[in-house]
Amino acid sequence: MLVYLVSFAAILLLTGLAWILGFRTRPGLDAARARSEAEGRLAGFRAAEIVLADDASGAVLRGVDGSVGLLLPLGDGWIARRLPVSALSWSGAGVTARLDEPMLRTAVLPLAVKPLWLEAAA
Amino acid sequence: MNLPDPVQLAIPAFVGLILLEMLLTRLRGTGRYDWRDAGASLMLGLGSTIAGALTAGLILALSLWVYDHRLFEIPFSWWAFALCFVLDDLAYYVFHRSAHRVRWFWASHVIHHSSQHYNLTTALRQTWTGFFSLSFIFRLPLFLIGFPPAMVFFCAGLNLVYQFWIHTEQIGRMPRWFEAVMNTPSHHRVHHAVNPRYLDRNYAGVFIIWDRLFGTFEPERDDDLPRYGIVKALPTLNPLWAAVHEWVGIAKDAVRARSPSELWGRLFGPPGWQPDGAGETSETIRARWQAATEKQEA
Repeated sequence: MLVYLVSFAAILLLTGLAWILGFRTRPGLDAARARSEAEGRLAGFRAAEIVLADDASGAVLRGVDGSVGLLLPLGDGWIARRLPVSALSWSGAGVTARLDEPMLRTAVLPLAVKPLWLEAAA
Repeated sequence: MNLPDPVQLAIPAFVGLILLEMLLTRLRGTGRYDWRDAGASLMLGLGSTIAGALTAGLILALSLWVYDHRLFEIPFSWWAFALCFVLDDLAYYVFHRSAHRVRWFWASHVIHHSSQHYNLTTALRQTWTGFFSLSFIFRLPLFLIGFPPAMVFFCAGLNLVYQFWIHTEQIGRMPRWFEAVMNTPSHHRVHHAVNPRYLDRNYAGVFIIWDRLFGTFEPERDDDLPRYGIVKALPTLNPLWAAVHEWVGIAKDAVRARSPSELWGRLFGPPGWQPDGAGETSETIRARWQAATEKQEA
């Protein structure tokens, strides 16, 4: 039992040190990075248009094949999803994506202005 | 013969090297750390240790039973240790390849790949469900041959300790002769990458020769830097979800199966398999990437 308590203390120490050393921020997302992340993580996806969320907390990308790539924040990085444009809806405050995953039913990206291509597709 | 547990002996070195890697990451700007991800990896490592301790007795009993039916008498000698180490590494290759190609084993192994980071804490991100997935069966032939369980577990411990240091971006390439024979940070970065070119490659534990021999080797390229994680990255850093998510997926898919063959495919097919062929397996992902790349080049 003692060995597990010591291990747990070591975990807290190392995690705390990581925090102290500054490994707690996420680099900003710009169009180039959004393209790189989406194309790098979604095999065969090629971005035609990129719309960054207003707070740069994610991006929605239209692929040249008409599919949609979505970038969402996780830790100091991003997760990417490919979905049909029909999974997106516009709420006024931004784009809502229906992902229907166990830990990710929906995701909202704040957007002040609705992208034209999304308006045309919806 | 009483042999020490190499993993327990190495734990202080693990902690020291993680600290060193964090400092180098900060000073050099190479590699990535995130405190939440590192904490999750370390918690998964602790959970794995606890799960291992709970099932160690059963695995030892099974190992001794198989050893009782051994084919040869193998003494505790230097050549037996050397042979055992090499054959245990081959058994690891077979296990590891199965762990990526058979969803049942993948459900247990996916934990190790579920981080989008590649650092020394990732090495400690280990399974909680290895016993349930029966991943211990891959070492049983060693006992049947006649290697004493104490010798096999000692070699397996050394194998695990070796694999710790290769989980880093702080080391570029090792000398050419070393890269040719041994598993290295460069080779293993490829293994942890989701780039289509790198999917399901470099299964080696200690000796990369197994991949070269069995056609699963892929070198790391400077023009295709590895992106780490799994094809469908987890949307949370919760360690509990990382530990069980694929089992939950298997259970849901098993309930939905409409025929025995579909059930078989969903349990023991490659990860991502779907009965209609629309699944995202390594092969389909690689094919889609190749088609898109050729189209772009044309």
